[in-house]
Amino acid sequence: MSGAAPVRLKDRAKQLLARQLGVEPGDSGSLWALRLVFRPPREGQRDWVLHWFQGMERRLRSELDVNADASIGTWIKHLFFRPPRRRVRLAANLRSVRHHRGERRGSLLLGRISAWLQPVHGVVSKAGHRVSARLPSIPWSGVGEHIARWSAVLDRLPYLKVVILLMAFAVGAAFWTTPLQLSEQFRLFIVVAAVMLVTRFIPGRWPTMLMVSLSILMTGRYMWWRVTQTLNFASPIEAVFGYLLFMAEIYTWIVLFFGYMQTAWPLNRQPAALPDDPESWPTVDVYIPTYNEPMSVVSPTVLAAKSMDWPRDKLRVYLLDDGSREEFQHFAEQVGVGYIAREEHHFAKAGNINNALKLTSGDFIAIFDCDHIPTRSFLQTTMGEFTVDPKCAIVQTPHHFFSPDPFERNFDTFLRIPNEGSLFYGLIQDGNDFWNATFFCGSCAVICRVPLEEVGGIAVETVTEDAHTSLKIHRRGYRTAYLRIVQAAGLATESLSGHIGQRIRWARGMAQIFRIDTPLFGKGLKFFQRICYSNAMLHFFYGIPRLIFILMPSAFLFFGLHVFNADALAVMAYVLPYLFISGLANSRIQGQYRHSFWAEVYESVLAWYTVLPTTVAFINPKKGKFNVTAKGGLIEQEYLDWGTSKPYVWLLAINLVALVAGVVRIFTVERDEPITVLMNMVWALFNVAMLGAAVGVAKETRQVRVSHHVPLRVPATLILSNGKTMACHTQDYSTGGLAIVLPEAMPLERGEAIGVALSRGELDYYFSAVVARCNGVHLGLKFEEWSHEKETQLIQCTFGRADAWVRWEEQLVPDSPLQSFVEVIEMGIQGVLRLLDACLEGIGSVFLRRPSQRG
Amino acid sequence: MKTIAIIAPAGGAGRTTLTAELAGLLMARRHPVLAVECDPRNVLSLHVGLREPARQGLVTQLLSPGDGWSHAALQSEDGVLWLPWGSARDDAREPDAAQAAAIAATLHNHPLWLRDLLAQVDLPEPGITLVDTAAWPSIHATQAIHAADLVLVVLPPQVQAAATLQRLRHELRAMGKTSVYVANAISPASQLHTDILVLLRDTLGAALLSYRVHADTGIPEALARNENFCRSAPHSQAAHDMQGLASWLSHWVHDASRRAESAAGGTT
Repeated sequence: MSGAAPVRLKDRAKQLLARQLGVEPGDSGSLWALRLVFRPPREGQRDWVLHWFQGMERRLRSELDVNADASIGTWIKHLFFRPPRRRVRLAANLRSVRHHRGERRGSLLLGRISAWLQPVHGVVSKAGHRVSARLPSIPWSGVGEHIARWSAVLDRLPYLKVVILLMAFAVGAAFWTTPLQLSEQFRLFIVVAAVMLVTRFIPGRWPTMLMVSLSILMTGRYMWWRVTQTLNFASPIEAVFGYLLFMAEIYTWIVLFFGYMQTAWPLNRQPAALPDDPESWPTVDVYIPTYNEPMSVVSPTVLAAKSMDWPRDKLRVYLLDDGSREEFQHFAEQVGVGYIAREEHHFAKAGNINNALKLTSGDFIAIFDCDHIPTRSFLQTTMGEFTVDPKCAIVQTPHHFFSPDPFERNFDTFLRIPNEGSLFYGLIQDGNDFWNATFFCGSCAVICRVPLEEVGGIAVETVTEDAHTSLKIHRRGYRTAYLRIVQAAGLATESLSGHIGQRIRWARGMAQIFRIDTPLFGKGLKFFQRICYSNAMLHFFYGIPRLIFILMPSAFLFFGLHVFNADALAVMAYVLPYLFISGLANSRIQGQYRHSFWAEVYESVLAWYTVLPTTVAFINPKKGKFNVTAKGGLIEQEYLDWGTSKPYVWLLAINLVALVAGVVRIFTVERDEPITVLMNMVWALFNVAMLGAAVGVAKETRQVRVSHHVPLRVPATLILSNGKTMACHTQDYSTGGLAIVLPEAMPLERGEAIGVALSRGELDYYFSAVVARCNGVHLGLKFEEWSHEKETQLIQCTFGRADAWVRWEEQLVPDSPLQSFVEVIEMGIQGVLRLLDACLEGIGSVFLRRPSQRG
Repeated sequence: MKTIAIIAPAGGAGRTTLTAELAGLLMARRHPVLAVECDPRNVLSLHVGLREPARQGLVTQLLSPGDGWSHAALQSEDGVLWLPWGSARDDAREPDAAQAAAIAATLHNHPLWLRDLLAQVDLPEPGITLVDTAAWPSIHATQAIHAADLVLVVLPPQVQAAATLQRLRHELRAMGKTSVYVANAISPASQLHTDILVLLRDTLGAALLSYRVHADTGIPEALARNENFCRSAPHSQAAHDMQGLASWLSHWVHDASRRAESAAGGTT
C-alpha cells in the first residue's frame, strides 16, 4: 500500500497538470512542452501554433534524416554528424527533362529565363503585337519572287555579269581599305546590320548573296584593319603569341571565303529518268565490304541490296568479306549473293574493293558500307544520271543515320538539332555539285567502272580512299553528281571514342591527300574544283586554330600579354561587326542544316584529337594506321569517358583558373584597363561553355538493348489470337523483334502468340510472333520461325520502302541564332555540372564509400 | 444523288455487312444515305438493329404497285435510311407460288424497275443510295447493276469468286457500267489469300481498289451483339480499311457530281 500511494499520487498530479495545460495524459512530450508555453486555442479556432510547430518538426526531421520513432540520442547525433546519404546530381537528366516538357522543342535554360522574365516579356510582346498590327505587313515572299524575276531578266544581258563583278571588286577594295573614325565605323556597322536583319526576311538566293557580300565586305574591313593596325607588339614574346593568333585568324578567313564559294549556289539536282526499255539498262554490281561487323548488322544490308528494283539478270550483289568468315560465306550462299574473300588484306576497304573489281564485270558499281541499308528505289533514282550524262563517273547520295550519334544521344538532341553530318550532306555536297566537285564518300554511291579502272581502282595511298578516288577521277575530266535524296540509311557510331576515331581517320586522310596530291595544283581541275576540294581538306586542319582560340585569353589573363594591339573600343568596332555579320550570313546559308554555334561545339570536341594526326600526316603522309569504326555495340553502364575527355578537362581548368586570374587582375594590376580584362574574360567564358559541352558529350548515356534497335515508324496490322485485328504503328526494329505502339492499351500475356502484318505496296507480309513484353500501349514482339526469307520480307516492308526516309528534311528545325546560342550555353553548363558530378562521385566512392547514384 | 450497287460474284462475301458499315461511315462523311436491300433474303434490317425480318419493303411495291413502299423505310439513330426487301406475306412466311411468279415476272420484264423506283427518291445532295443485292448472277443483282452509277464488286478471297470474275467483268463492260473491285475478308496469315490478291491485281489492274478489308472476327461478333462494328472497334484494322473505302466512295461521289455539273454547264 505504501508503494501504490505515490504512483496514484503521481498519476493524479499528472492528470491535474494535463487538465491545466489542456493536453491528454497520453500525448507526446513535444506537445506537453508546447502547451507549457502556449495555451490551447479557444473552441472553433485553428491551432496556428501547433500547425507551425508540426511543420517545423517535419522540416527538421527531413533535414537531419531522423525517423518518426527515433530516440533523443539519434536527434543529437544527427545534429552533429550527418548520416551518409545519396548525393543529388547537379546535372539535369536531359532525357527526363525532355519527357517532362513533352514534345516541345524549346530549351531548358530558355524556358527558365523566360519564366523569370515572364512579366517583362508579356508587356514587350504585347506592345510589339500592337505596333506590328498597326504597321502594314510586307509580303516577303512576294519581294523574293520579284527579285528572282528581275535577276533572271538581267542575267540575259551580255557582259553584264563581268562588268558587275569587276565593279564589285573595285568597290570592295575601296570599302575594305577606306580608313574611318571609330564612331563612323560603328555607324557603318549599324547600317549594315540593319540591312542584314531586313534581308533575313526575304526568301530566295539573291538575298542570301547580298548577305554573303555584306559579310565579305565587313570581314575585309576587319582583315585590313587587323593587318595594318594591330600587329605592333611591345615585346618579342607578345609578338610570338600575337602572330599565332593572327595565323589562326587567317585560317578562319580562308575557310570562311572558301566556304562562301563552295556553298554559293546549291544545285539541288533532281533524279534523271531512265530509258523506258529495261533491256537497255546497264548491269550493276553491288559491293558490300565488311571486315569484323556482326551478322546482325550485315544481313539487313545484303537482303535489302538484293531487293532493289532492277532487272534481276542485271543486278549482282557481292559480299566482300575481309574477315574471311565461314558464317558469312554460308549466309551468302543461302541468300544467293556472291561472296568474295581474299588471301592477303592489304589496304583495308580500298584493297577489298579493288580485289572485287578484278573478279567482277558489271558496268557500274554500287558501294554500300555493310550497315547502310538501301531502299528499293536506290538504283532507279541514281542510275538515270549516267544515261543522261555519259561523262558522269560517280553519283553520290547522302549518308543518313537512323540512330543518334554520341552528340545526339548524350545531349539528347536527336531530331531536334541537326547533327554534324547534316551540314555536309544537306548543303556542302550540294554546293560542291554546282562546281562539279561532289566527291565520293565511300558508301551509298554508284561508280562507273571505266573511269574507276582508268585511275587504277580505289585509291590506296591515303586512308580516305573515297575522296582521293574522286579527286583522281575529276582530274581526268569526268563529272560527278550529288542527289540529296536519302536512299539508304545506317547506324551512327555508338560511342564517343568510336566517333572520334572515325573523325581522326578522316582528318588524317584529308591531310594526306592535301600533302601528296594537293588539289591546289596538278592538272585537270577547274579553279572552283580546287577551291571546293581544298576547303574540304583545310576544314580538317581546324584543330590548331581552335586550340589557339581556346588558350589565347589565358595569355592575357595570366601573363598580361597584349596579343592584339588595339584598345577595347577599337576591338568592338571591328571584331563585333565581323563576327555578327558573318554569323548572320552563315546562319542564313546553313539554316536548317547546322544551327549557329554548334559548329564550335563539334569542333571543340574533335580539335584536340585531330591536331596530331593532321600534323603528322602533313609532315609524313606515310605514318598512320587505318582503324575500323565499331558499330552495333552497347553501353551497359552510364559513365564519363575520362580517357577521352581528359584533354578538355585540362583546357577547361585552364580557362576557369584564367577567369579567377582575370577577377584578381581587374582589382589589382590592371585597374587602368578593366574593359580589356572583361573582354578576355567573356572570351574565356565562351570557351568554358564550349569545353563544358565537349566534356558533357563524354558522359555516355546508357544503351540497354543488346541487338541494335532502329527507330522505324510504319503502319502495321496486328492479328490477335482470337482473330481480331488492330491497326497500329511500329516503333523500332531489331533483328528478330519489333516494338509496336498500340492505339489503346491492351492486356496481352507474355508469350502469347500473335501475328503482325506489314505492307509493301499493296501486299501484306505476315509474321508470326510472340509477345515479349506488354506495357500499356507499348508492345514488344519476338518473331517466330525466323529465316532469311522472312527477314528479307521484313526489310522490304521497312527499310527497303522507297519512301522510308523521304521525310528526314521535314524534321529539321530552322536555325534561330539567339536560341541556338542559349542552347549551346546550356549544354556547356550541363557539361560542367556533369564533370562536377563525376568528380564528386569519384571522390565519394574513394573516400566515403557512398553508393553512387545510378540512373 | 448517286447510286452505288454493291454486288459479289459469290455468296458469303460479306456484302451485306459491308453495305451496313459503309452506310454509317458515309453518313458520318455528311452524305444523306439510303441503303436499299434488293435481296429476297431480307436480312439487312438485322444490321440496323431489328430483331425480326422487316415486313414492308421493296417487295410491297412489287406485289401492290403504289407508293405504299415509301413508308417502308426505317431510320437508324445515325440518320441512315434503310429500305429492306420486306416480306411478301404478313406472317413473314415466304411468298406463295402466285406471288413468287408475279415478283419474278416484274423483275424479268422490267430490268429498269429498281432504277425507276429509286429515281422517285429525292435525297438531298450529296446523297448516296447503296444497293445491297443477292450474289451475282441473279435477277436481283442485274436490277441493282442497272440502277447503279457505280458498281462496287466485293471479292472474297475464294477460288470460286476468281473463277466467275471474268464473266462478271464482261457483263459489266457490256452494260457500260463504271465498276471498281474491293477484296474483302483478307487474312494476311493465309498464303492463299495473298496469292489470290496478286492474281486479282494482275487481272484487274487499277480497277482493284488499294483498300482491302482485312478479316476480323470482331465483325460477326459485333453483329451478334447488335453493335456497329466500326464504332465498337474503331482501332481494328478492318475498321480502318472500311474508313478508307468510305472515304474513297465519298470522293468518287463528289467528283462524279462535279463532272456531271460541268458537263451540264458545258451543254447549256
